[in-house]
Amino acid sequence: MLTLLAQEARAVLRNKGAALLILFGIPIVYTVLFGFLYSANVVKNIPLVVFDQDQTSTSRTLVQAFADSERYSIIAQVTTQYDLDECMKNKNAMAALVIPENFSRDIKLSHATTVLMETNATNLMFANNVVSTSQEIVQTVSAAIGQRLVEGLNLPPAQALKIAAPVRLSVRVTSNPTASYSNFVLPGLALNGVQLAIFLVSCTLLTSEYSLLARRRDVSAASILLAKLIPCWIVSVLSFLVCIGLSGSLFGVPFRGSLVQLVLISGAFNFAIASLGLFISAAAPNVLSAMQNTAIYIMSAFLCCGYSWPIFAMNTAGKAYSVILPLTYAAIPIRDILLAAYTPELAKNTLILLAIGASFFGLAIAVFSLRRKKMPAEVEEGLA
Amino acid sequence: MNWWQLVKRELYLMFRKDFRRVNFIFGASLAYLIIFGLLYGTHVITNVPLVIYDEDQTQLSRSLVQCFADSERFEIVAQPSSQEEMEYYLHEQTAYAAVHIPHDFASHVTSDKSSPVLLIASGINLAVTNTITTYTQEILAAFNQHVSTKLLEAAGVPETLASHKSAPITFAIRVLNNPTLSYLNFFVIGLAMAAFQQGIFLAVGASILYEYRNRDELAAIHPVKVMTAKMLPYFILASLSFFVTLYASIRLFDIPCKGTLLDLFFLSETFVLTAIGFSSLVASLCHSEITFTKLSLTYSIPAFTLSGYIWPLASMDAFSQTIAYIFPLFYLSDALRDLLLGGYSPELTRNITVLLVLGLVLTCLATWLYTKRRHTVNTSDPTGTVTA
Repeated sequence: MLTLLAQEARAVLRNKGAALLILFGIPIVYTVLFGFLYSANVVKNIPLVVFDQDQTSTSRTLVQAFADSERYSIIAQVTTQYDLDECMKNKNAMAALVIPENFSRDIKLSHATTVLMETNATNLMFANNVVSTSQEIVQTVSAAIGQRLVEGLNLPPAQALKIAAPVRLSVRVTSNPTASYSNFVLPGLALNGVQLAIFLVSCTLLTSEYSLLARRRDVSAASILLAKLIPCWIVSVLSFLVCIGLSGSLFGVPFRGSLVQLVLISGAFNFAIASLGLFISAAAPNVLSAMQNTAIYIMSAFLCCGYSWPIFAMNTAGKAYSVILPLTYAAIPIRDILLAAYTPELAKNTLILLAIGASFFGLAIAVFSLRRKKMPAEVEEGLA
Repeated sequence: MNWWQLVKRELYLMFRKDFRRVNFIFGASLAYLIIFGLLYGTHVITNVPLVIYDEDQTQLSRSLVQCFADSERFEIVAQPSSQEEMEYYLHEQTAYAAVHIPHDFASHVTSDKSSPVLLIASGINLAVTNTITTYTQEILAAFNQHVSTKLLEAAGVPETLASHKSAPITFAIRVLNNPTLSYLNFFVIGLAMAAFQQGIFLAVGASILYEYRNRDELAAIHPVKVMTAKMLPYFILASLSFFVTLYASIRLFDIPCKGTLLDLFFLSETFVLTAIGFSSLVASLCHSEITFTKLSLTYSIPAFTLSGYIWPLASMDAFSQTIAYIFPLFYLSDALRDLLLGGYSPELTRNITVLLVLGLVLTCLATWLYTKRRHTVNTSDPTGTVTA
C-alpha cells in the first residue's frame, strides 16, 4: 500500500506537475482574482442625478444629505425631466432624486409632499442599495424637519423630537457588520475553485489505470483507488487552507473559528468530491464525455447550494436540487466558521459529506473491480 | 471538396458522428435557464425567519409585532421570553433576525420619551441582511408615523395636520426596468448566456481538435476554406440556440423582452462570432480535448463573475476592470439584460463594434494557426476512451 501511495504521490508531479498545478492553481487564482474584484467590499458612489424643482434651503438640505452619504455620488443637477430621463436611460446615473415644486412651502403649510426616488433595477446590486439607503436618508431628514414643525406647536425641542420619532431603531449586524461583500462571497468562491480543481483531476485518475491493468492485476481495487485518492485529497485540503490564508492576509476576510473545524468540514467535502470524480473516472466509458456532462452539475452547484440565494427562499425544485449538492453541506458552514466562529450542525454536515464520499468511493471500487474482471486478457496486454 | 460538401461533412460530424456538439450548443444554455429559472422562481426573498422578544407585552408592542407578522418578508418563527433565548435562535440560525422590544417601550412612547427597538440581523448572507434591514426600516417608519400622529392628536393637534407634522416628507420610489426587484429577471438570462458561451466553446473545440486528429481528411483543401465551412454550421446553430433560449426565457419564466429584434440580432451574432473565434484559437493551442475542456471549465467562472453582470464595473478596482474588458461575455450579458428589461442599452453600439472586431481578429488568428499547425501537430488520445 505504501509503495502504491508513493507511486501515486509521484504521479501528481508527472506531466510537469499538471495535477498539482490544477489543484493549487485554480483555487489560488480564483481567490486572488475575486479578492481583487470585490476589494471595494460595498457598492459605493452610486451615480445620482438630482432634479430639485424647489431650490430652497429645505430642498438643499435633502440634497446635501445624499451628497454626504458615501453611497452616492451626485453626478449632475438637472433642470428638466427630459435631462433626468436621458441620464437614467444612458446609465450615466443609476438613481435619481426628484424634489417637487413647492416642497418647502407644502411642508410649512403641513400639506403632504412627496419626494420621488427613481432607480434603474436592471442590476439589483445598485437597486437594493438605493431602496434601503435612500429610504433611510429621507426618513432622517423627514424626522429632523418634523421635529422643527412640532417645535412650532410650542413644544420644547427634546420633546418635539420624541414626538416626531417616538421609536428609534438600532441595528446591529452580526458576523459581518460592515456588510463586506468579500467576507460574504470569497470563502465560497475559493471552495468552488477547490471543487472544480478536484473534479478536473479526479475525473481522469483511472484513465491510465485501465490502460495499465496488467501492471497491478494482483493489487486489490480498494488499494489502487485509495492510493489514487489520498494524494489528491491531501493536496486539495492544503490548497484550500492556503486560499483561506490568502483571503485573510490579502483581502481581510476574518477567521474567527477553529482551524480543526475548518479542516474537518473541508476535508470531508474534498473527500466527497474526489470520490465523485473517482467514480466518474471508474464508470465512464468515455472520460471526456463524462466530464463535460457532469460539468453542469459542478458549475451550477455554487449558486444552487444556498450560499447566496438562501434555501428558505427557494421553491421545492430548488430545495430538492440543493439537497443533492455536496457544496450545500460545506460552503455555508465554512463561511460560518470564518465569520461567526460557530456553525450549527457541523457534525451532521460532516457526516453527510463523509457518507456521500464513502458511497461514491464504494461504488467506484465496485465498478472498477467489475470492469477490470471483464476486460479481456488480449485487450489488457494490448493496452499494456 | 466544394463548399457545400465541406458544410455537409461538418453537419454529418455534428449530428451523426458526435452528437455531443449539438447537445452543447442547444443544451447548455437551456439547462442553465431551467435550473436557475426554477431556483429563482420565487423572484424575491420572502419569509425571512425572525424572532421577536417582546419584553413589554403591551398593546403598543403587540401592534408592532403584528406589523412584522403582516409583512410577507418575515416569518416569525418564535417569540422568545429572554435575551438568552433570543440569542440562541440567532446562534443556531433558526432565525436570521431578531427584534427586541424593551420592557418600558409603551410607557416611554406615551411619556414622550423615545423608545429604542433593537434589530439584530445576521450579516452572514448579505442578500438576506439587505432584506432584513430594508423592510424593518420600512415597517418601523410606518409604525413611527402612526404613533407620532396619535401623540400629536393627544396634544390637541387636529388629525389631518398631525400626520403631516409627524412625517412631513413622504417617500415614493419608482423602480425602473425591474419594478419587483426580481432576482429571476436580474440573474437568470446572464447565467444562461454564460452556459451558452460554454456550449459554443465545447462544440467548436471538439470540432477543431477533430481536424487536428484526422489531419489527412482535409489536407488538400485550403485552410481558409476548411475553417469557414466548418464554422458556418456552428454560427447558424448557435444563433438559433440563442433565440431559442431567449424564447424559452420569455415563455417559461416571463422574463420581459423590450428590446428590438434587430438589436438582439446584431448583439448575439457578433458575440457568437467572437465565441467561435476564441474557442477555435484556444483549441488550436491545446494538445487534447480533455485539456481544452479543463481550460474551458476553469475559464467559465471568472468569465461570468468578472463580466460586470453582478458586481458593477464601477465598483471594481483597475486590475479587475482591465480583465473584465478582455472577456467577450462582458460585451454581451449586461447589454442583453438592458435590452430585455429596459428596451435600450447605451453601450450597444460600442459592444457590437468591439465584438465584431474581436470576432474577426480571433477567427483570423485561429485560421492562421490552423494553417501553420495542421501538418505538424500530433494530438494525444482525445477522449480518454477505455475499452471494456
